[in-house]
Amino acid sequence: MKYNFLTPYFAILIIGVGLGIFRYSKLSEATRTILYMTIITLLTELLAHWLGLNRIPNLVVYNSFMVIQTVLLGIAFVQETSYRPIIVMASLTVLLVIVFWFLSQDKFNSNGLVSVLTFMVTISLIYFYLLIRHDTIVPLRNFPFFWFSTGFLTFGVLNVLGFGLIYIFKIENQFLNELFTNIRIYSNYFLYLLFILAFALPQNSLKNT
Amino acid sequence: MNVSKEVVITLVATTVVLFLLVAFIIAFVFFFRQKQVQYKVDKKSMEEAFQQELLQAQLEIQEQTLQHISHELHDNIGQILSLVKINLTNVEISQEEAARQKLATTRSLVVKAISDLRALSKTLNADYVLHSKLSEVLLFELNYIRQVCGCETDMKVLGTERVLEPRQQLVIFRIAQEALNNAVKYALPTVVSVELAFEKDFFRLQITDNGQGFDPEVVGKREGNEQGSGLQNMKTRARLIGARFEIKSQNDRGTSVSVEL
Repeated sequence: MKYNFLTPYFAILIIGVGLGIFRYSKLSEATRTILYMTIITLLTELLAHWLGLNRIPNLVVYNSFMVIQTVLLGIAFVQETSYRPIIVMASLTVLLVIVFWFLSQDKFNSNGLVSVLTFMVTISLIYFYLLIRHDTIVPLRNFPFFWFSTGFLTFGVLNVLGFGLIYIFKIENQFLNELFTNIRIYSNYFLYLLFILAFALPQNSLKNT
Repeated sequence: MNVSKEVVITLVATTVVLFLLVAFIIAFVFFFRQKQVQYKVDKKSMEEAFQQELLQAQLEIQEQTLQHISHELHDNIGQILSLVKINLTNVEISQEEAARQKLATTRSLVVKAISDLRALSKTLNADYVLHSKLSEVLLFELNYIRQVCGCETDMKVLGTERVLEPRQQLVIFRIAQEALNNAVKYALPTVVSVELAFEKDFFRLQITDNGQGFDPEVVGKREGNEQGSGLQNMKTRARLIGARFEIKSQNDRGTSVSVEL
């Protein structure tokens, strides 16, 4: 089961990174930041997988990744939207992740992850709001951040829901655990497939249209 | 709460959230497209309105040009030629010295008439406005204003003058022409000054007079009034080229019109 999940996951990430590097000169500044985040995601996942195979604790890798991911996401969305309050939101999220990291000790930092997911959902909604207010004749598909935001919104909402409901009900139900594991897996695929689409399409932003 | 109920609630909540998520994205795409269609329609009608205003401005410039020419022909060249005619009629060949003097005066009058006619041939038209520096065409306009109202005029250019986009230049010139005409027609000033300021990514035209001034709010609201519609035209045209238009005036304290790009 784990093998089946990881192979397409790594394949999608590698294709995304490869395509991003291939089209690097055509990418906008903000999309380049998302590309750096994708590269770091791939390296983190490879490192965590290798540590897992060698039975070495890999929680520190995931916790550090959450911090880096939040910072890069914040930078990318500020570059794209010039909406400064995102900096405050990103800083607050980083602070929460670090606090929860120390509180969670040797367990998985679920609260930290929920904070990052909430941040993702918030900045995606901010982007959608700014995009709908933006007057342009450029087709929606040519805004890479429309695809990134769709991905982050879907990924964020579904995973916050999964974590949230399991926490609220303190459910230990095999069926629901499998359901949310699958949702997590497929929302990951969906997110990074949208990255591939965003890297491949023309690069328009709120600033240049 | 038993386990099966929790599972049902979780499943229902998950389904609802998934449904809402999909609905949100579809609704977003739908509204974005609707807004885009509306924006294209608005943009097209704005472009049409802009073209129409531009054409109107060109027609007004032409009309003003004809007024200049008519004024020049009647008040200047016509007068000179009348003097030439009188001189030539009064020349008496028998009085050689007096005839020589009259002919010399007549020759210099003809030279002046020729030079004034040459100047008149350069009289402003839309094409000349488009292909000249704004300061040059405004200076020409100020010279005309000086002749018409007998007032002092002054022109200042701050910064390095750069070429404006032709459509912007035409509209700005027409606004200036309208403001100067209003000054002469309604304000009875003794001094009229024009200031052009050029900075990086910034341009300002300011026309000031020391005339009798007016209350812009009262004049702007008066229907069917020529001055009021002139003010409205200036505002509309400034908006069409994305400029900020401002008029400051008070009774007996002169008027200042500014356009910023």
